[in-house]
Amino acid sequence: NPIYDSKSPNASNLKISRMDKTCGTVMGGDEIFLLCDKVQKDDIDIRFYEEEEEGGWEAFGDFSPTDVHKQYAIVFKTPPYHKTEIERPVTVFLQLKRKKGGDCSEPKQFTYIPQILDKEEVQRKRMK
Amino acid sequence: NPIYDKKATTTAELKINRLNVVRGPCIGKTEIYMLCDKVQKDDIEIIFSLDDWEAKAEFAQTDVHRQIAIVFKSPPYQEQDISEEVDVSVCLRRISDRMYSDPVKFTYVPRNTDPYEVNRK
Repeated sequence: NPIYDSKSPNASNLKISRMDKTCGTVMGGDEIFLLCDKVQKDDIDIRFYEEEEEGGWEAFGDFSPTDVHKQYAIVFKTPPYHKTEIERPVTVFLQLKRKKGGDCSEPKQFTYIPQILDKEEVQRKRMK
Repeated sequence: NPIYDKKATTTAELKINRLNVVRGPCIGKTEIYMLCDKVQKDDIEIIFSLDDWEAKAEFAQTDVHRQIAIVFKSPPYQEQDISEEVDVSVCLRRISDRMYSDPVKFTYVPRNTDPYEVNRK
């Protein structure tokens, strides 16, 4: 078995502890506060993805290095889902991923909610 | 003059950087994420106040994340039948020396005045 130096910044010790939201609109742009183990502000991505069998989609949370707070929290905006017209909520995964080396945290789930369309309103307009 | 170690969490200046939610019902219980400068999990409280009223936010030591974030619940406002929004102050307060951070604003909104958001429509 390999022995890892858990104190080394390169060791795979990325971890998402807590998020203030686990669902948001399919259009993206929801602001999320994420609490995590130590990250480097210019070497971290938040990767949203679906497994290969569901299309192999990935997209990244939107934030700048200044949104990384003291190495232990990140405030970011969700990316839009690849398809904005969904009928039902879709659950995907997100994880922390180092830009260099590419190691990842365990994933958390995130659910995209369909846009709230006022169907009656739409139909009323159609009838005019 | 005493010399303070600005880096020690026992004497460092307290600072609130950001809240994820800045308004909630006057009944309290709004879950809020606060990002702050380093605090000691066993020597910190969050105070909501307005004039003579003050109340402590509810959280456990395990809700303090790596000294730089706190997940807490807003306390109920002193009055439950407010008819208009009320702005109050939120501060960090160190228990040991009673030092405060600068305040940030939180707005209590009346409950059930418009449960179905009729006015907005």
